[in-house]
Amino acid sequence: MPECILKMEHITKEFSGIKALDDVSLECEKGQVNVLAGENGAGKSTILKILSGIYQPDGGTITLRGEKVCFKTPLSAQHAGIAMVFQELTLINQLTIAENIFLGQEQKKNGLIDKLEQKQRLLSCMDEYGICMDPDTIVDRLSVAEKQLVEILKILIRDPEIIILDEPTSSLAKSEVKILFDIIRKLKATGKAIIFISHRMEEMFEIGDKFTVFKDGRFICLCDRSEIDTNILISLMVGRTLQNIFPPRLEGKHDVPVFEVKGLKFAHNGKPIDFCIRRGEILGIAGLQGHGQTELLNALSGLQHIYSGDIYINGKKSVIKNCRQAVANGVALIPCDRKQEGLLLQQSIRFNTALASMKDRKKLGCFIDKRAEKTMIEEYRTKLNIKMANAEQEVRELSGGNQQKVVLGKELAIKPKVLLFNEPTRGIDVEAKREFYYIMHDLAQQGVAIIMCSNDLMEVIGMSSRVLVMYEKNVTAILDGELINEEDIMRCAMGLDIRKGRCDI
Amino acid sequence: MNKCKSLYNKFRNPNLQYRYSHVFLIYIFLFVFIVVMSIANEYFRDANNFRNIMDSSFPLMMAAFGQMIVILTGGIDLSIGGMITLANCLSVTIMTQMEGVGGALFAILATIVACSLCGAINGLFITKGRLPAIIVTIATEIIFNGIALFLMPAPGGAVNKEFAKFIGARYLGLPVSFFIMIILVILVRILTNRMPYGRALRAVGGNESAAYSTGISVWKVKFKAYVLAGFFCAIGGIYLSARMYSADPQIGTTYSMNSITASVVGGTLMTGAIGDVLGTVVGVFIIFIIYNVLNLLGVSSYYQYIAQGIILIFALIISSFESRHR
Repeated sequence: MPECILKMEHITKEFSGIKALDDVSLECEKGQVNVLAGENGAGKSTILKILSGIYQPDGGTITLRGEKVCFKTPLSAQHAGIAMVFQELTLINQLTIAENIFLGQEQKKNGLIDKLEQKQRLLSCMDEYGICMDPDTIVDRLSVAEKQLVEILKILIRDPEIIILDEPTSSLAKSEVKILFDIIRKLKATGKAIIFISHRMEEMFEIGDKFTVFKDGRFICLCDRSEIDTNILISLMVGRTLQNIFPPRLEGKHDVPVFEVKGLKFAHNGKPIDFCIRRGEILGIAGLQGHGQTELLNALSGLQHIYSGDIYINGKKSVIKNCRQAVANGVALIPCDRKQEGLLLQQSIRFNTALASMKDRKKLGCFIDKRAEKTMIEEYRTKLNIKMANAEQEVRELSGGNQQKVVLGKELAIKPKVLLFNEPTRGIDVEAKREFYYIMHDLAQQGVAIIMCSNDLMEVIGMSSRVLVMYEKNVTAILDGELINEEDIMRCAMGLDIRKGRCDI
Repeated sequence: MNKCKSLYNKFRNPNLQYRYSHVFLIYIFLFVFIVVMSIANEYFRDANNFRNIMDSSFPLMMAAFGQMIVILTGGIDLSIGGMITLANCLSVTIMTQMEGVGGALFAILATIVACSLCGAINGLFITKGRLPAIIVTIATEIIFNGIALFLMPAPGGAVNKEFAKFIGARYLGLPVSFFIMIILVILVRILTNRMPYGRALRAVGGNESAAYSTGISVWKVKFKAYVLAGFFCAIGGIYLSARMYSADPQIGTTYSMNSITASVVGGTLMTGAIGDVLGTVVGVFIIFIIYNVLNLLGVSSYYQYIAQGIILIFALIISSFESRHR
């Protein structure tokens, strides 16, 4: 019976009223790899950030080696022997590999950094795990995969007892994953406890001894490798019922595509992508975080470079090289982070709504026409049901849902032919979500081509006429009809089973 | 021969180039500039002129060291001029009140403590108060200048003779300031390049949240940087007292901007993390040699301001050009 070294029990954590974690538990044992599984937003990263001292829990206990502990800062977690490889890299680009690895715990001789000693220790550590790199290389010059290895070396040198790996393989190639897994097996043999997160099924089953499943911030189960297989795990990770907040599903009736993409390449080494949207259709984009969904939308809206490919809007070939051309062609993007990319928070609703279409309402050829702006806002206020005091109210005072409606109003004012939604309902309440879904539904019926990308699988399933699934910057499938269900989408999103939809792509 | 080759290889190393290409460029520029001017102008190549440059650049050197450390964390200190003025006025006020060597020593100590406290105030507002450095230090600059004016409403005061004589003396034909400078350059270089604190400094400037999750106490690192800036201003201000035998409540006005210019000319990136004190030293010298040349050529002081602006823009163009080609 392996020794249980860490126990987290009844952990809760709220972010501005929304429960990210609700009474969850996590434990790990010496010499074991515990795989933490769950969909996007299940709370995996949150609990690990609590464990490594970056977030403070609102409730619950952490027991380390039989003692109750509480980590106020990342430093105190490190002192307790917990080290984490973060999903987003935490290296300082301007420093060398050696400097990054020993950051915060330099080898000292007479109060000075002993560079030679550091280098030797690092080289012997790299030797031990079969990694080959020059310790004096500036991190800025490394590839993402190499940076990931540096990140892992950084914790190896600290010799922790509990190692947390938050999606370490997401940017690694097969051969590099093998190096990583060799490292993990060596660590296991020396009695380290490891918590491992990955979105790749085959990896989970290759390396995992135990599986902890989270869903929507709740603990689902803890089971042994022997009790579980891919199908059971997927059904544990999903398995919700549809809430009745979605409008009836739209079917594209006409054969004429309103929006067509042929041979689009937006990533340097990606495969060309083809898809189309028929009149009155909503195309959902699904996939696990960071598999190219945002890049695809950015490429279509001119924010990102397109390597090759053609875009046809209403059958007419359109050139979109920058945002200006995108707007001119009637392509509008509702960005995923409205506060950063969508709104000027300190400005009024009128200012924000009028921003994109300012040029259409000039008075005497060069002045802003306040009156025309006001009538326009009244129009969108009733159309989108924006709850506001008056048009001069600052946007930051509005609730998330109303802010999102202002963003939508701004984009609708340019009379778009194609609307790209990235995470349209992130951080807004259920009622506003429902309203938003019906607005999208109506727009699609009016003939606007709608693409909706979301990490919320329920939303994609509830809204989409067809679902395009992405995995590692490629399209693995375009699903329709019966195939739009959680299991099939998850399967494709994990690169397990590439099955083409019945419709023509 | 082998040694030559290894040196050449070292220079070819892209990692070294990444960090030191600017410093290297600036040394070549300084060298060429000095050689050309020495050939062109007989007053310039005079040994006294060089001692003069050395002497007059020392206070800015101190200000620039402090500024560079702050910029490495990604911050900025615009109260450096105020702290130098305060150091100047405070040390002279104390020395006027208390005579003798003891009084002078007390004045030095008290000034260092006072200026470090000023830096600590900046640091506290910026780290614990979470206020933007640029606003905090503009505000404290005004306060420090006000205190200096309160202490010394008009230029004047007296300075301990022995102390002034010691600072003004020459050894081996070189001014004392030269030796102090060498010692401080070595100390700052060790601090920023060889000690864990220097690493932390660059880590905070490079990526603050990454530094935090690595376990670095970000606020302490920043706080100490501002305290150090105050400390260096104290040294600069005390030196000014000894060289002028008096205090002037207007003395520091140009130091904040000049210290930024010197750091940037010396290869410090305004975004933080990259910079070397060896570059900053040369940055200060370049500014003063250009002033010196303009003076020798009899160019009016108005043009000197214009020249200073042009140098800063030029340095910024070079550094942005470099970062684009990385």
